[in-house]
Amino acid sequence: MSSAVLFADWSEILEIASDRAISEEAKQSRHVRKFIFDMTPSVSIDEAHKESLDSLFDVFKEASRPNWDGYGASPVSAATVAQARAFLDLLPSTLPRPEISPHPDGELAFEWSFGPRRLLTVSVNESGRLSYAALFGHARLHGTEFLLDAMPEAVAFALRRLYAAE
Amino acid sequence: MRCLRRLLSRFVGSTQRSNPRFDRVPEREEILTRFIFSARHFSAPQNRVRPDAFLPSKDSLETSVFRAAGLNLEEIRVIGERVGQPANRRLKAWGDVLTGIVFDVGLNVRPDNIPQRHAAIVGWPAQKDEQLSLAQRLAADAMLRLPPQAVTT
Repeated sequence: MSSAVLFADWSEILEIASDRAISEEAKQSRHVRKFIFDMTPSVSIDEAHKESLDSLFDVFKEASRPNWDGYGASPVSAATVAQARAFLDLLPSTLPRPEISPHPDGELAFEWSFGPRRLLTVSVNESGRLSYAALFGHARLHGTEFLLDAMPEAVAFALRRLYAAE
Repeated sequence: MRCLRRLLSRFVGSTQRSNPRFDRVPEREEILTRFIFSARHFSAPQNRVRPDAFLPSKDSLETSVFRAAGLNLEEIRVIGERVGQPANRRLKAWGDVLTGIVFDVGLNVRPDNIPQRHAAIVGWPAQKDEQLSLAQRLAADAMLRLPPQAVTT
């Protein structure tokens, strides 16, 4: 991802943030949809990637209000959606698309799973911090990285290890 | 894991006959139930609870759970629906985990019994990656329960 695109991301986010105070929920939802799907209109995206973007938007719709989980969860913000979109853009097209879910702290999570004891979860917050954890049988791996121009090596390593036995 | 799930199934029967004091810390074999109101926090096709379902609340660093000992599935479902009502959330599923598993990963259970049968999984670390790792271990040994009318998509 280029710095120009990052700048455009944040311009859009600031616009969303300023609108949030004065607009209705539907308006924010429209902004986020536009942001997710129209960010790079000249670039063609494959069907799997589009499905991920659809899923990302669905998750935002579900979890953009407080207490979406019934236990007092924080809402997922437009800024977090932007970081999640950036993370999705870094994934190789050959990699199976992850399941996307909201977390109670307002972060968005990506999960690759071969069952309950062989999985990788990566969650992203609104500042681009990536928290990841993996189970490989009884072996565990976890850590923190930051979203930059390329996939952090530690996350790439966890993905390679997850798929190595396949 | 299959062994643990069989064990968990067996304990469902034994705890239904027991009547623990809900103001006391549960025994290792007592089941803790986590009600799930987001369809993204479990996988019906894979018959598993996702780790997301066990993550603690951001502010309290606690995971709210319910002690279902002595209740049948329908009674548990009704209570779960009530838990979701204030937030207008429909019960999608619930996850059962043995108290002993919670202890084994280094977490604890606080039996506040407010409301009755309520407890909280406590002792979560502040670091998100550590929370994820512990939640994965809880989910790996949890049993998914689906109410008859659950939306599983």
